Amino acid sequence: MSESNKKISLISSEGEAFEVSEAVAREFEIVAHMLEDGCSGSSIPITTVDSNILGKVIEYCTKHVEVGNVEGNSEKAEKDLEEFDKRFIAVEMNTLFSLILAANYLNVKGLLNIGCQKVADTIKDMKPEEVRSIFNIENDYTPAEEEVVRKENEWAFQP
Amino acid sequence: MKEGECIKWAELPYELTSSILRRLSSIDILENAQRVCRSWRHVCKDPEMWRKIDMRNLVDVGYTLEIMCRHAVDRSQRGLVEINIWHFATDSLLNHIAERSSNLRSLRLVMCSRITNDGLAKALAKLPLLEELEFSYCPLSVESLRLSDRS
Repeated sequence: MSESNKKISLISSEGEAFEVSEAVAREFEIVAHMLEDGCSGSSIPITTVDSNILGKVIEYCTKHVEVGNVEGNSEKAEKDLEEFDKRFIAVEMNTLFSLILAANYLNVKGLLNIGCQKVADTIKDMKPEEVRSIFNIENDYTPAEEEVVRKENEWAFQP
Repeated sequence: MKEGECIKWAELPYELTSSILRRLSSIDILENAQRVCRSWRHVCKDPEMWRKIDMRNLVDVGYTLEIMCRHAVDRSQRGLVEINIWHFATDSLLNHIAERSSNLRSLRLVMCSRITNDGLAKALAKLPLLEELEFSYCPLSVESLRLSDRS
């Protein structure tokens, strides 16, 4: 119990402090490693993540720690968590982008997984033009390269 | 991310783009994703992307799927571990796969009416590491496969 009572402050890029339990902080693998390496400080700077995104990542980790701590009734808990994940990741594209980067940096594997899956689900079966427009990706192929790609894809079409 | 700041999805770190794109079907990658921009194409050419080939097509989309599948197998550069094919497999395709995929662990064939016991047996002989084989709704008999496997 003593471990979960300990509080740790995570400091966002703007210098804002978010106080969380050690169990929640440990969901950030990068933090867990720091703690294991003997970092005894009670405040840890997360310099590359802003307050908005850090708050969201903490919300995600807090929920997952809470559910993980509930004993019994695991099927219902799992379903609730799935529902939570689904709602949690239904954000606009800019936020999704930042969440994926943050989850990768902080090494929160579950969040990284649902973030990447959300992007994949969004672009599934989409034409290249649609993907470019939704994700604000510039078509950086030169006309000559585009021709090469187009030719390479011709094999895929029946004559 | 500040308002008005331009998000550059094309500049997402390589391993993250790869993690996203490998969740798409192989058909979708070849047909769409690799045509989006150069960096995505670069990711889609990586043999790592082709450890697992998923060619479960529910509808006839009008592509020559067999040619596409051969291309995907070639992209794996002998690193193919799992392949899942619906409908269009032939003995010749199985041979193409078997000759280039000595690391294959899982082969799933569903509703492939054009493969024969003999063709499958010959392919299996070249796949020493295969752990999982499925041939649902294919015109094959387990018995004759066992026999030809032994010979």
